[in-house]
Amino acid sequence: MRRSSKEEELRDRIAALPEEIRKQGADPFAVDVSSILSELRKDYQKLKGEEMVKDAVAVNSVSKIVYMQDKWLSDRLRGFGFGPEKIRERLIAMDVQVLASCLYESQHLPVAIRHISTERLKGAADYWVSLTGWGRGSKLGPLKDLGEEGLESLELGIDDIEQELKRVREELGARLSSSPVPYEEYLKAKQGKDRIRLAYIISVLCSSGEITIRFDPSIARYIILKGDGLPDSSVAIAV
Amino acid sequence: MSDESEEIREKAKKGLVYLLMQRHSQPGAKGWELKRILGKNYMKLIPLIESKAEELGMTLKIVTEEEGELEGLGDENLDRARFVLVSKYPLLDREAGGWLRMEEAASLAIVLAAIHAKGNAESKDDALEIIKEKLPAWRAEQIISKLIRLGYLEEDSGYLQTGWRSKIEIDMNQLLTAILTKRTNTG
Repeated sequence: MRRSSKEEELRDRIAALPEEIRKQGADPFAVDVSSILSELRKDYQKLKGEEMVKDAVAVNSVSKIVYMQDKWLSDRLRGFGFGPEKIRERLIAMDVQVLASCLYESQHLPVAIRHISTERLKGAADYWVSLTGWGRGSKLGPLKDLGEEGLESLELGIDDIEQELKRVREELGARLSSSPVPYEEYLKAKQGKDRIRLAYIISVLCSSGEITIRFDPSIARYIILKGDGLPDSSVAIAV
Repeated sequence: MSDESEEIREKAKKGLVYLLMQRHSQPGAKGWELKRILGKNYMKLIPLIESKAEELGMTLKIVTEEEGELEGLGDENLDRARFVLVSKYPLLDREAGGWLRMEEAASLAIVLAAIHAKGNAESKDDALEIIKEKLPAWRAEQIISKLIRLGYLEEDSGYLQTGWRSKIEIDMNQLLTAILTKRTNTG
C-alpha cells in the first residue's frame, strides 16, 4: 500500500474542513483561508498524480469555506426580522427595474460554445442546393411592393391576440403530438388578412419557443415542430 | 512530469472542453455523458476540472434531481445530475446577452424570493398576486409560463418551486441580500 506524503496529509486535512465546520456548527470565519492558500501554493509545482487530485479537492474545499462565510453573513443579515411577510412587503415596495437589477446581480449565466458539426454543415449544403437549384434556380428577389393594401390594419387587439394564440396553441399542440405539420398546409385554409394574421400568431409562438419552424430538404418545405422552450431566430418566409 | 499526472491533466482538460461544447439545446452535460468520455471514476476528476474552470473565470455547477450534498448521492443520481459551467461573475452588462427581459427578471426575483421565504415552494396564485401589483394580469401569467418553460421554475399541483436553471444560474444568497439591502420607494 502506498504511504501518504506530508503534502497529501495536509490536503486531506484541508479537504475535511468544510464537513467539520458543518457538523460542529462552527464559525467559518475561524478558518484562515488566506494562509491555507499560501500553504497550498508552496509545493504545487512538485505535485504528481494522486497528489494533484488531492490538491484540487483541497482548493475546492477552501472555496466551500468561502461560500460558507458568505452564506453565514447573508443568514445573519436575513436573521434581522425578515420573515415571509416582511419579504413580501419589500417585494411589493420595490420597482420592477430595481428587482430586475437584483436578479441580474445574482445571475451567473452558463458558458457554452456553439459549434457547427459536419453533419449540420452537410444539412446546410443540402438545403442550399434545394433552395437555389445549384446555381440554376430562381434567385430570391426583393419583396414585392404591396402598396397601400399591404399596410391595411390587421385590427388585432390584446384580447384578440390572446384568444387567437390560445386557439392556435391548442390546435397545433394536438396535431404536433403525433407528427410535424407542413407550414404551408396549415396556412392554406386562410386567405388574405386572415392568412397574415395566422402567420403572425405562429411567429409569436416561435418567438416564445413553444413551436419551431424548420426547412425539410427532403420535401423542400417548411414544417412546424414542437419547440424546445428557447426562442427561435428570425427568418423571412413568404406567406 | 510523470505519465500518470499527464494523463490526469489531459483527462481533466478533455472534460472541460466537453462541458464547454454545447451539443443540446440545454447547456452542459449529464453525469452519464461524462462517465462515457472520462471513465467510471469521473467524479474524481471533477475537482481538477473545477480548478481549471476557475482559472478561466468559470464555476462548475452540479445540479441533481435530489436535494442535498453531492457526497451522499448514489451513482445513479450522479449519472442523472447536470454539470454546467457558469460565469464566475454576474452579467451586469445586459448588452452582452441573457435570456430574460427586465419584467421577466423582476418576476423571477419575486417568485424565487417568495419561494425561499416560504421554505421551498410558493403558491402560484400568491406569487401571481405580487407580480400583478406591478404588471398587467395577462403579462404576469405569460411570464410565469415562460419561466416554467425555460426551466427557471417548476410547477407542481399549483405550487411553484425553484427550477434546474435557477439552481444553476442564480445565487440565492446574492439575490436575497440584494433584495434586502436595496433602497425601495418607501425607503
